Amino acid sequence: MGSQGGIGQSKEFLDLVKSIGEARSKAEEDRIVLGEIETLKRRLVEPGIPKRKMKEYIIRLVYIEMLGHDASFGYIHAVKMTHDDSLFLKRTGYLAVTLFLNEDHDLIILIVNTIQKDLKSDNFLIVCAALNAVCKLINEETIPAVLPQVVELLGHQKEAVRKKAIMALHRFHQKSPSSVSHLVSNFRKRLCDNDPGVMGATLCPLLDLINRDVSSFKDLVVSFVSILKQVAEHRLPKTYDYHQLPAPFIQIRLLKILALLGSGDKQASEQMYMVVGDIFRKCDSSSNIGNAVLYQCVCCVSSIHPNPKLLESAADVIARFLKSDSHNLKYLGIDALGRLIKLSPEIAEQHQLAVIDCLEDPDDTLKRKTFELLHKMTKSSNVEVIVDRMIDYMISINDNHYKTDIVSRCVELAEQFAPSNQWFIQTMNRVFEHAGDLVNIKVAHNLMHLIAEGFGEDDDTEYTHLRSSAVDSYLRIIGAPKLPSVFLQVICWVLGEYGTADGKYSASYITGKLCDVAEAYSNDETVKAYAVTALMKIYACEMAAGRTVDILPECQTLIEELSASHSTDLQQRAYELQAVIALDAQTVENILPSDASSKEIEIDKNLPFLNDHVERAIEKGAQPYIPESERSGFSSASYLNRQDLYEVPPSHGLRFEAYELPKQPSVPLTTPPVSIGSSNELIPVPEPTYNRGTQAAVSLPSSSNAGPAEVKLRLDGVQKRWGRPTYSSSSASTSAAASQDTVNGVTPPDGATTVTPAISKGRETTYEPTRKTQQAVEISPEKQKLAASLFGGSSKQERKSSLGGGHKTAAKPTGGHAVEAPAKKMAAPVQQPPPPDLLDLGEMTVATTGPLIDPFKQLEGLLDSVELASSTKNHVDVSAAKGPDAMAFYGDSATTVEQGGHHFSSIDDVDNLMSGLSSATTDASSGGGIPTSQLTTQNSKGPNLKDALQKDALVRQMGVNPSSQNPNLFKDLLG
Amino acid sequence: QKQYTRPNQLEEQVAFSFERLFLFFSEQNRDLRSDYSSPWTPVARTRNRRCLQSASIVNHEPHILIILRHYDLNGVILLVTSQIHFVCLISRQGKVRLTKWYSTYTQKERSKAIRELSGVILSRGPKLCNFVDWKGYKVVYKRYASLYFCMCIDDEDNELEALEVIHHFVEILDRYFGSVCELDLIFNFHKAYYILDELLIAGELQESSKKTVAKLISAQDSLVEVAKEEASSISNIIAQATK
Repeated sequence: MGSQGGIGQSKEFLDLVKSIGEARSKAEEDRIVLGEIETLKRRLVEPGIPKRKMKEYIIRLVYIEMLGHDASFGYIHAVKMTHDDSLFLKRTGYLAVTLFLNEDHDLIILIVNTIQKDLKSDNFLIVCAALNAVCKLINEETIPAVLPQVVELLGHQKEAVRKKAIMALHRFHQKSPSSVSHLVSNFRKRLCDNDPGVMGATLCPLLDLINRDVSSFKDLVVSFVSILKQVAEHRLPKTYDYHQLPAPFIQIRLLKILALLGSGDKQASEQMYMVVGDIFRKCDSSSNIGNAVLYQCVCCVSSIHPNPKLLESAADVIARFLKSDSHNLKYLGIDALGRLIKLSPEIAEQHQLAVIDCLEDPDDTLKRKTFELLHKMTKSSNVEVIVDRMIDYMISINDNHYKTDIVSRCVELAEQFAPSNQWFIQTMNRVFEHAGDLVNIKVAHNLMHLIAEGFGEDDDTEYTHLRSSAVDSYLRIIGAPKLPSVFLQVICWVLGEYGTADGKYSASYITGKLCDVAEAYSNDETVKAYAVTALMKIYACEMAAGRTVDILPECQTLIEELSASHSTDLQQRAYELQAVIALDAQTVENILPSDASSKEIEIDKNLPFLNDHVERAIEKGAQPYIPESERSGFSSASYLNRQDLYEVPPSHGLRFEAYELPKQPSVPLTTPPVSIGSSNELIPVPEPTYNRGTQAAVSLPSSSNAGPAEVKLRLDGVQKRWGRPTYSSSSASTSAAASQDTVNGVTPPDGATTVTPAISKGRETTYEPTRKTQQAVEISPEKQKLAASLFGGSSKQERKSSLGGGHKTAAKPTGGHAVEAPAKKMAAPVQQPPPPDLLDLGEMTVATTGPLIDPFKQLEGLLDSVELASSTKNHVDVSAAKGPDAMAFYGDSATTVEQGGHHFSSIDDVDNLMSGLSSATTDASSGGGIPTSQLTTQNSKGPNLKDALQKDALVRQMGVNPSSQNPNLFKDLLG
Repeated sequence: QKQYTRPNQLEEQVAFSFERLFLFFSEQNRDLRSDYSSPWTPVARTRNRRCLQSASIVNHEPHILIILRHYDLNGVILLVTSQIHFVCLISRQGKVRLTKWYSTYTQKERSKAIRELSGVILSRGPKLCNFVDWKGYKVVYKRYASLYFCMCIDDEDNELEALEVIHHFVEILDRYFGSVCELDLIFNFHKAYYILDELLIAGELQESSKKTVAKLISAQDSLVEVAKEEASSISNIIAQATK
């Protein structure tokens, strides 16, 4: 056809298009369009424009709008054009209004009438055009106006109309689910439509409906499975083939539906296994669309009740995707891996190198997807490497949207899995430093909370250690230019609370730093406020300690300047500071006790200090307060009353009953005070409010950030996970006394922190330059190291197959407490021989000593193999002894399991034994031990093979002849 | 009441529904809001998946999930399902050749989206993947000669399928125009719109058979031709009559 120039288009229009095409710059284009707008504005108001001409004007308006300019002056003409009788103009009118108007536009009300008329038209093309408009223009209010007609059109003889009617109803459902909730049966009926196109379209609304409420569509599983089977078997007309694949778009949609229906439903899933397996086999993986279907299959498999055979096929598909050269397929492979990894964590291990390649890939999209995957597979053993990488990447990008995203992920992971407080603080510092403005303020509060409270350590030295290292790090950072405000607030607060606590820094040094901050960020009032308060705390601390306070001259000027500040808040703080300094030491100690930020302020709810006052009042004839429960006549109903009170908002509504008779205002002391009315109205009101008030006051200091934080630090979970419980359990063991204490107390978690960063460091320094050369020949050891640190397992599993195998057998989900302990014990002796390759411990630790934080420095001497071996042994003993206990915990908290995993993997790291005893497998094994989690049991291979076979047999029984279940459809499709 | 077997699956579902749920509360819903406002309000405000996921982790309680699943319990929650949000065709010079918006955007947002996307997409290398993250959505694009076909879909959707929808559209265009080229689309953009309307409707693929689409389009065209002939013959008659 090659209809350049088109038919019926005027020279003017063609010239316009041409000149726009030739425009060299956006400015030139804009100028042309503006000129065109002027012309059209003039032309459109001319009287008696011929219809053909008008149509062209409308198309020109569409063109202007498409180029991003405002053509609203002509909307009304497009609306008028829809009123025209001829399809030829009407179609243009509808096209224009669907492009111009959003569903909330005022002009729509003018079109509804036309649409109603057109839906009744004899000409199906007009009906189609109207339905197109319905899909775009009808909003929640106008749905009722067209709904009956659209429903009627579901039975139209032309399949194109039925299809569009279905889609229109789908749109209605999206806009207002309640409007079409009574029409579900119509959708079900259309599923059996003669025309495959209509059937395919029906899947759209059904997908939505099922998404909302799975349970009421369970009966359709059989139909969907049989449809999918027929589609896959090429029963649909040839025209639906796409690149030799039978109706792939319909297959994909069906797979999406099945994924929803089968999720968490074993019975439904079993009906699907067969057909999904078929598709896996039949799909041709050389075409894009074939891969799209395969990918959807993997999604489906990962969502429904797991089946070992299908998981295997899915794993094959993923392997193929990841090995492919196409970035698109790699991307899908990574995504699919992320979906499957929760079901079978071991699958990640075989692809670790591919994953790392994707992480290194220059393609941002792929990289981000890989980070998503890593995020999903983070556990306490690899959190450091992953978060490190994420932060590195975060620093390198500019896109604020994604930066926020990745920052929140880092914070989330760090809060969940942090191996030590130290590490957490270091990580948070980096995050704040580079993306402080994007971090939720609550994260900062959590950090302060953490520094103030630690994580429930009873050990004071550990505690002060944490603080002083935080202070150290902040003093180092504070000089950096342009720190984000949130971070500065944290710094000021910490320096104020703990700056002088360990006596390492003098008060004048800290105050000098604080002054510098306040001056450097003089237009940030919040920071200044934090700084002044910090100054006050330091001075108070000095005074309480009995030292004389010498205020630096610059502090003095700062305080004076602030006391004349425009901000009343700053003024207030400055005056308070001056007032506090003027007090004597004893008072100051009382006002600002040192290190009390996390202490709860106790409030005696009885308010005893008011007793005198109350007694005096009663003596003077006041009514005594009678507790609600003792009030006569109301003791039983008090509960109800209270409920009423809570429901009725404090501002009382109108009362429709008459008021009771007024009572004597002064009632004698002894009589119980109380008519129904007055007790109902007067007395209970203050009581609950009072209660509420005090409760709020009590809870405030302790949980200031526990409230609405959606990225809240989960302190209780972390407490269990982080260091401490390990220590306590090890100190409980009796096997080794003093030396063990030192080793157990610090080494294992520290070991974990020292070694894993070392791996990534080593990788970064040596890996980059050598990458290209090595890649072709062999897999670089650095990459393997990274892989090992990420995946916890070794990339050279073959070598250690005996070890891994041995462990795996031990890790079989035998479900008993007794087995769990021996399993760990067995692993212990295997660990002891020093590993032959991969990571050399001595070198590693030496290499890493530099950048590490001081507490670890002292311990490096301890890190020789002898002690390590003993520590390992101890740990294993401990955990073995602890076995039953730990098992008891599994029931209620997954954190215990995690901790166990971490515990072990840290030993791994120290030993450089990245082998079968990875935390992944430990997790799996312990998971398998839980009798309640059927899933993991199903999932891991061993003993359930028989079950699976039985299931397969069942599926075969159920799935082979679906025609009996849904004869109508089957007949339809077969013709 | 639903049974959820796996905690991680539950989490996934929360994340999944969070992502798709754009929820806000009606006035009657006050008591619910006071109980759960903390994790919910941010959900209502943002569609950023990651924030939502971290919100979901705070709430392992199944009742929240159940309320979410049965969202019309008493809150008004809008369901935003997986769909195509817009389609646009951009030339290699960054000129817009066709745009179709299935979700609601203001003219300003439209221009901004096009500007941002053309910046990202046109600068991408040839061997990279055809998907780009864009504000929590995925934009799938494919280049045909000098023209980029872009399609914005939900993050969780099947990207490769979207890519094939694009290709499907191109094949139909090709069949209609007879080895289509950019100029065809420049001058007949309204026809491209008609074809697109037959292929996609309300952000969903409505017809996957090329033949059906072609048949419908030709039926419309022939009707238009008939109308045109009539019009011209009438005007001829009138012209002759008035002579």
